[in-house]
Amino acid sequence: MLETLVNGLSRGAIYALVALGYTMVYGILGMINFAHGEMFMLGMFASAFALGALGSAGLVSVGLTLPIAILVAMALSAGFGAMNERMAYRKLRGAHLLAPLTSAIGMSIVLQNFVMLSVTKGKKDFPQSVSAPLADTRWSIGPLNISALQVLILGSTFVLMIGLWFVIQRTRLGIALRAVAQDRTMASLCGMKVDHLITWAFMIGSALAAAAGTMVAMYQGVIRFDAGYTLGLKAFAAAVLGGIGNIPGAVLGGLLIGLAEDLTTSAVGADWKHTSSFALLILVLLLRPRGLLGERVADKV
Amino acid sequence: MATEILSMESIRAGYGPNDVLHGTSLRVDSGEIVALLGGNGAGKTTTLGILAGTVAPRTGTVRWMGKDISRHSIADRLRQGLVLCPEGRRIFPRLSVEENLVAGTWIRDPKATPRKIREAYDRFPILGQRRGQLGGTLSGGEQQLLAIARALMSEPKLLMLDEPSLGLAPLVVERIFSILVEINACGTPVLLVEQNANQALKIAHRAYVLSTGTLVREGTGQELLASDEIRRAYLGGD
Repeated sequence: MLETLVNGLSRGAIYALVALGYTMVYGILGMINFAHGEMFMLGMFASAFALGALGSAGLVSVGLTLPIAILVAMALSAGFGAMNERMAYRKLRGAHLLAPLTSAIGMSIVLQNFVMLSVTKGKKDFPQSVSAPLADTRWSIGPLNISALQVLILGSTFVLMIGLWFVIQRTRLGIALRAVAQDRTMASLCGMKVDHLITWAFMIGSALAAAAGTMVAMYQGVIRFDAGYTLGLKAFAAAVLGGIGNIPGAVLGGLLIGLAEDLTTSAVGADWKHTSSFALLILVLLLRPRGLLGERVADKV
Repeated sequence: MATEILSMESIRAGYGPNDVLHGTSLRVDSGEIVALLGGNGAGKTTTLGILAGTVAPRTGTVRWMGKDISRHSIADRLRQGLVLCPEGRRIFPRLSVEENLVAGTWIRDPKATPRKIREAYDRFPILGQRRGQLGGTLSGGEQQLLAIARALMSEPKLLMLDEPSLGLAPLVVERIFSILVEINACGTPVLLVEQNANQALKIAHRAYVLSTGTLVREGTGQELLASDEIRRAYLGGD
């Protein structure tokens, strides 16, 4: 039981990290970023290549290679996030809501096919040098048996979330991001470059998704060009469940969906886990159409 | 001898096919409070938009300290000290009072922010008491104070205000106007757009009356206050 909870929390932490990107872009732009799952997927591939390159350069120390790989993945996805905003969103500012939605789906298809054609259309193995020792190191704390990889996932998710909270709540950039989300005209009268700040929201969200991608890649051991699709959908569900636009809501939604999936898996069977997470979403939306924390718009970015 | 710091010359501007301003010119000299009066749809807000950079003129020039700034961005004009406190106050409703003030410092050196925030609280103690409260929870008068304080955080060399008295109780309006006089006394010229003509003319050194995009009258505050004709035609009732 305890193990199921830890598994669910680790899974939920991943959903939460990706959900934060959906919720930030929605908060500042009022639109869903339909290419966000691809930022997760690109993060998987970027860290795989970074680890591969570091490995062939002779660097194997996990404490060194893993942080480098995560940072490379975050930086690369942030770059793609900025590109996505410029190409799929900025050109269509002021257009009908469906226009950027369509262009973002187009961006998503382009990125998936780019990876499929340039890397592989099948599965690619994620370098085992890092993940295998982490997955094999297991600790027993009382009745709880937990792997170093799970500790890493929970720990780094927590650190990233605290980091995001700090940026949003305690820095000038965070104040500006929230100001743009609340009143774009007034923000520009304060001298804020609205377009740049919207790009920042995309970049921060994409970097978080890339970190999540690296961790899932280590967990699963294989990566695919279409890995962002299902996970993106789940994370989107998590953001909506928690109240889209609301940052604590994205975290709460992610954790709840992760827990629901693992509890269902252990109680009924893995076949039902997708059913349970979306059933949970539907149930919550029936009772609270704006999501769990949807009314507390105070923390909206 | 007062020197001209801001002027617009023969500005035509509008939205869609129609012009709102038909070749309008005005100026603000150093040390002045200038009121821009007129009824609904006269083009007052558009005039401020032209000066602040939110509306692009079709023809004509905007000059700031003698330099043509017609093509400068909003942020560039802000950095040069041209600050607009817009209609409806536009407090960020879900930022705290203090965060609203910080938003006003965006184009300035962040190192000066703590000092400027202290000065704002000295000047407006009520804002200090409410520093952690969300902007949207303040009363209308407090929001107007916050809007002015936020504009001051941008370090204006000219402060433009669009209808600061809108929707406020008479006592609060008096308070706001006396603050504008204080700000002016410290050396900052003020360009004030108002429908509340009587109040505005009492504090203004000079005033313009705008009617459907054309300046119909210019004079000192006293002159315009004394003119029955102007009052009847353009300044409405009382």
